[in-house]
Order: sequence, then structure tokens, then C-alpha cells
Amino acid sequence: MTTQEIAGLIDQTYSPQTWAGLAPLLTLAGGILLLLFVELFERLHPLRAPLFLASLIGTFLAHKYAGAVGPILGGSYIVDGATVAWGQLFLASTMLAWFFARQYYRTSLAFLGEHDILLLTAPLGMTVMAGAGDLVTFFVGLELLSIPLYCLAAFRRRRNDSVEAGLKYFILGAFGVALLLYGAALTYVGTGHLDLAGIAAGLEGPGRPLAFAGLALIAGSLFFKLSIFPFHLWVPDVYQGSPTPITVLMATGTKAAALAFLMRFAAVLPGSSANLIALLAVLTMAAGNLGALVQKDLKRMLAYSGIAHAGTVLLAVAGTVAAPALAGDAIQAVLFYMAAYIFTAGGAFGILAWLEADGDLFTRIDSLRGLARRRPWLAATLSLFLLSLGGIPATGGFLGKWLVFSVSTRADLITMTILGVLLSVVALGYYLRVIVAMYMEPEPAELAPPMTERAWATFGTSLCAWMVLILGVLPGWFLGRVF
Amino acid sequence: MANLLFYLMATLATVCAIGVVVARSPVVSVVSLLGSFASLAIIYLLAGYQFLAAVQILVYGGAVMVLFLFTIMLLNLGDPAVIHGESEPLFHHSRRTLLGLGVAAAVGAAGLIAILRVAWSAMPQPAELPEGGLDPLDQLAASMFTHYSLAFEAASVLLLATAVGVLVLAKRNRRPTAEVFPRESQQPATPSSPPTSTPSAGAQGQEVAEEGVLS
Amino acid sequence: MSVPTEYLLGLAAILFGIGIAGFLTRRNLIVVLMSIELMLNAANLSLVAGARMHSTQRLLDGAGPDLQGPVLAIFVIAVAAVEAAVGLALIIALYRRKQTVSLESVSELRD
Repeated sequence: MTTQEIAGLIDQTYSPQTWAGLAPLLTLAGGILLLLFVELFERLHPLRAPLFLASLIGTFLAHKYAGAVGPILGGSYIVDGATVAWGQLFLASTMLAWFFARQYYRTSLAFLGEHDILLLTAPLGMTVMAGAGDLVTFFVGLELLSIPLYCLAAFRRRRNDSVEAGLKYFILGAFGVALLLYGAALTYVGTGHLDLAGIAAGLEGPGRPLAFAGLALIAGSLFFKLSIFPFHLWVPDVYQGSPTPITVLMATGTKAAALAFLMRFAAVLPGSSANLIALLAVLTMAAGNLGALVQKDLKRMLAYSGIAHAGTVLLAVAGTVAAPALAGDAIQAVLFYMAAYIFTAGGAFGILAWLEADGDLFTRIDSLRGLARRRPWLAATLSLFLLSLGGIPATGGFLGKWLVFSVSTRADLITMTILGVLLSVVALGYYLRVIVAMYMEPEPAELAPPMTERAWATFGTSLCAWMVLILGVLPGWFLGRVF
Repeated sequence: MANLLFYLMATLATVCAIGVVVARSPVVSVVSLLGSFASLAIIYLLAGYQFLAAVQILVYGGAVMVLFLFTIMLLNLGDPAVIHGESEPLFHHSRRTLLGLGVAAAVGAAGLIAILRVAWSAMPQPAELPEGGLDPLDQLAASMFTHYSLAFEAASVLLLATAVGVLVLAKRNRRPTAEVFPRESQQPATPSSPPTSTPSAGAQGQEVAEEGVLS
Repeated sequence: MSVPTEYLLGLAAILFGIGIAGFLTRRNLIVVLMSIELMLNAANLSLVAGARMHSTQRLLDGAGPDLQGPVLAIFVIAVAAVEAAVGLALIIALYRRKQTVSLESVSELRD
């Protein structure tokens, strides 16, 4: 290759459009580097928080103003409306995790700067995943999301449960990545391509069986991240052992990122796999809801409820696999569902993080009895989140479910949709149990009431509550903004 | 000749891989793994991927192996009696082992069957290698810095984040006195059940200082 | 070397199977990590086999060799090193807490 050829190639690749598409990622990366720099000098440490927020806001603005510029870098990164919307949701999820992490930790305080750096790396990986147009970019994005989370899950390294959660998450995650890579390799052997468009075209060739085996492995590793039925058993332990602000990010952001790529990946999957995916969705909902019914700890209950929600939203994926014409509606439904879920589950876990600061046992449902008298606002907000998780009208959760079920109905997955609706009703049972405990049961006498005041966490929780209400009452505001 | 070398290396890679799984001492596992990686590097070389072979030796043989050995030596795990005691089994209890072997055999068999099904329909067979192998560095670099530049830069951020994360996990305390908060050891009152029944109470009770081990 | 592609793929499948077996059966976390490295190597070998096969076709057509496979393989090697580093750091953290590297100390379910 001559120098001239190389120069031509570089000019052709790095057009202003490319830079516009990369602007949000570059802003985030710049924020990470600045935070690392600030770590060097003790005197600059007060700048950590403003810098972190500035990176998030700057990235948000970059998403908003750079907009959807289409496929860049030879199609390896696709900046369409969905990428921009997902990117903003990931930022919201990270911001919530960060709010709840303020004043949460009581050990490992010396590493709080590193905590923020790792926390800021996760949305970078998520956005790369959401926009990935080929498996190479997706794979690196997935790792960029996972590696910081493994470390953050074990962040309270003086506690056995935190280290165990990190290790468990890591081992299963690394196994999932190995499956993903073997699947990508088989797909590549079968089709000759690693980019999604090429794979779709190459599926007609003679390498079909190998490519299908590969696609199944890739889907399996995505399902693992999304905690779909046979791969959901790790969720409760990891969620419970991790620091709760990190659980917020795992439960909302990671799931959204896996889902974002799954929506792109669904275009490659053959239509005949839709029934299997819908079946997995219903089994996941059943596993999640039945698991949640018997839990005594609110954090574990929310983990199981998260599994059930992943199952619900998978129905929309099945819908778009069954009827590719519905892809636009499906992505809209999934985006709305996850937006509502991020603020609902984020808020609920955030309240847990707050209660937890007063001692772990306060997350048990027993110890929430009579909370409405001690902390009326806290109880009211938690009830709002639980009702939204259960899908009560006038909350964001209801409309999300409605959109998802309407997609799967129009895709002719009627039986599975009916089962899904029934299981959603079952789910109301355990959400209401917590609300009943908070409002109708007497306060246990020997319980010291949680009294800590934490400004950032309060702000984060109220933000979540407002967003849940806005998404429930004015859904057009969100949908109009996204598309 | 080259074919013979491939069969030799394939056998070696398989034997070494089995060695990784069945060896009692982790050090033997590491050495077996190294043998497996080296034979694979030679196979890459035979297939025409020179740069990949070099990277395989440099990163796996150099960096990853040293990391494994370092950890084993640091934790003094070279002697299996230290970890499990002489009578402790190497594998999980038998039911899980059987399940694992079953899954592994099923995956391997499914892979082989799929491969044979494809092989039966004409797979293009390799011809003569071009001069400079199949991964010419200039073209590889050109595609890394244009088409795959996002993945490349993301990988660089990934390495940075890894360095930070590993530091958080493995470093001993930076300022030991600042770490312990007075309320840390307090146990909240349990309303209905004894504290032993809750897992987190046990975990919190075990929060002893981590100095002393490994220092 | 004129070994058919399916032999390379077969070797990769065998290595992947051995890796899975080690992952599912061994108790020592370090060996479990090594099994994962084996699986990643099997993926890389498949990528090489596929790249060689597709390059053959392209070279006959007069185009350059197919580079998608080797590019992913290089990223896999980089990420394998990253995973080894993080995994071993987590193992060290666990050893500090519990003085063991046995998988059972992690995988006991708490419900």
C-alpha cells in the first residue's frame, strides 16, 4: 500500500459525518481521561463530581445535536435514531447509579475516584454495543461494558458477598463471551461475514447449518446478559451481592444494551425462530414471577421481577422476528418499555440503596412494615415504582407493557401474548404484598427507623418518580422526542 | 511435510488441552495451556497467518501465562495439598461432573456434525499461499485504523479501564485508617428472624481487616 | 499446508468441548479461568480456518485476502488478556477474604 492510498483511505473514512457520529463517544472517553487526570492530584479531587456530571451532560448534548448520521466507519457503527435514543437512556441509567452511589459506600472509600471512572466506562461500552453494525464492534463494546461491571460488583471488597458476586458475574460472563465468540466464528465460517448485513445475505449460501449454529450461540450469550430463561439463575445472587447502585446499572443499563443489540440482531434471525423466542419469553416471565413470589428480601424480589420484565420485553423481539415489517413499532415499544423500566427499577433499587445505608436488614420485606408512618414520602414513592413495575395504568410500566403486547399480538403470537398478560397479573400479587406491608401492617417495635438524609439519592429518586409519571401520562412527549 | 506438522500439532494441542483439565497441580495446567497455545500458534503459521501467530506467542505465551503463574505463586497454590487437602476431589461431585462431560460432548458432537454437513457441500479448499501470508500487515493495519477504528479505540479504553479495575480489586489499602467507618460493625436489629438466618448479616460480621493476608 | 478446512474446524470443536468440560467440572477457579482461555482459543482457530477458506475464494477472484477473521482474532487475544487480568484480580480478592480458590466458595446459592 502506498502512502497516497493510505491518505486517501483516511480522508474517505474520517469525514465530518464520522466525527459527528463519534462525538458522544469521544465526549465520554474525554471525560474518563479527565477524571483519571484529576485522580493524580489530591487538590483536584473536589472536581470529580462536577466533571462526572459534565461528561454525562456533554454526551447527552452531543447525542442530541449530532443526531442520527447513519452508518459510519464502513458500516461498523450505525448511528440511527435508535442508537441516539439508547445512548441517552444509558446515560440516564448511569446518572441514576451515580446519584445513588453518593454517600453509599462506607468501605473502600479510598477508591471512590476509580469507582466513578469505571462507572463512566460502562455507558461507553453500552453505546458502542447499541450502534454496532458488526460482531467485532459489538464484542469490544460488550467487554467495555462488562469488565468495569465485574470490578464494580466486587467493589466492596471487604465483604464476602460483594467479592463473590463479582466473581460469579465474571465467570459466567466470561463463559458467555466465549460462547459468543465461538458463535461469531461459526457464523463467519458459514457466511464469510462478521457484519450483520453480510451475515443476512450470506445465510442463503451453502454454509447455512454452521451459520445457524453460530447465530444460536450468539443469541444464547445475549440471552445470558438479558437473563432469559435457562440463563437467569445467576441474577439474584449477583444483584444481591453487588453494591446496590451497581445493581441499578446492571438491572437497567446492561439489559437495555443487550436488548439494543438484540433488536439489530433480530433482523438476521430466521422468522421460524420467532416461536421459540416467544416461548423462552413466556418461560422467563414464569420463572421470574414464580421466583419473586417466594422472596423475603426486597432486593432479591426485584431481581426476580427484573427477570420477568426481560421476558416481557423479549416478546417484542419475538414479534419483530416473526414479522420484520413491524420492526419500527417493535423498536419503539422496546425503547419505551426500557425507558420506563430504567426509571422504575432504577428508582426502586435506589430506594433500597437508601434503606440499605441504615443496615442490610432493612431491605427485608418484614422490616418495611409500617414504613408509611415512619417515612410517608419514601413509602409513597416506593409504592409508585412497584405499581409501575406491576403495570398499573397511568404509570410508565403500563404503557410499556401495552406497546409490547400490541406488537406481539400483531405478529400473530396470540397464545404467548395471552400467557404473558396472565403472568403479568400474577406479578401484581407480590408487588401488592410489599405495599400492603408498608401501609397496613403494624410497625415492628424493636426496629430503629432509617433516618439518614442523602440529598443526591433524594434527587435521583424524585427524578425517577417524575419520569415514571410523565411516561405514564404523557407518553407522546417521549415518543415524539425519540422519533 | 506441512500437513504432517499440522497433524502433529493438532495432536499436541488436544493432549495439552486435556492436560489442562485433568492436571492436579495448577502449575501443570499452566504449562499444558502454554503447550496448547504454542501448538496453535504453529498451526496459525502453517495456515498462513504469521502476524496472528506472533501475537499469539507474545500475548498468550508472554503476558497471560506469566499472569497465571504469578498468581499461582503469589497465592502459593502450586501444591494442591495447600488448596484442598490431599483427599479433596479435583472435580465437582460426580453428578455435576457427568453433566459437564455430557454437555461438553454434546457441544463437540453438534459442532462436528454441523461441520461435516457443511463440508459435504463443497467448501472451497485451500490453494497455494500468497507471498507474505494471508494477513499482510499493511492491509491489516489499514482496516484496523479505518473500518475497525472504533473497536480499536474502544479496546484501548478497555485496557485503561482494566488497569483501573484491577487496581481497585487487588491493591492493598491505600490509606488503611481512612477505610473503616465507625458504624461498620453495627448490626441493625432484626424484627422477626434471628440474625443467623440472614446471609448479609454473616457477610457483614466477617468484615475483618484484610491486612495480614498477602502482606 | 493443504489440510482441509473441516479438519481445522474439527480441532477447534474438540478444543472448545474440552474447554467446556473443564469449565463445568473443575473446582479450582484458576483452572476454570484457563478453560475459558481454551474456549477463546478454539474460537480463534475457527476464525483462522474460516478466514483461510474465504480468502481462497477471494484470491482466486483476484481480490486481497479476507481480513475480518484475523481482525476479530486479534481483538479476541487482546480481550483474553484483559479477562485473565480481571479474573485473576478477582481470585486474589476472593483468596484474601476466604483463603481458598475453590469454585464452591462462590457458587453456593443463598436461598
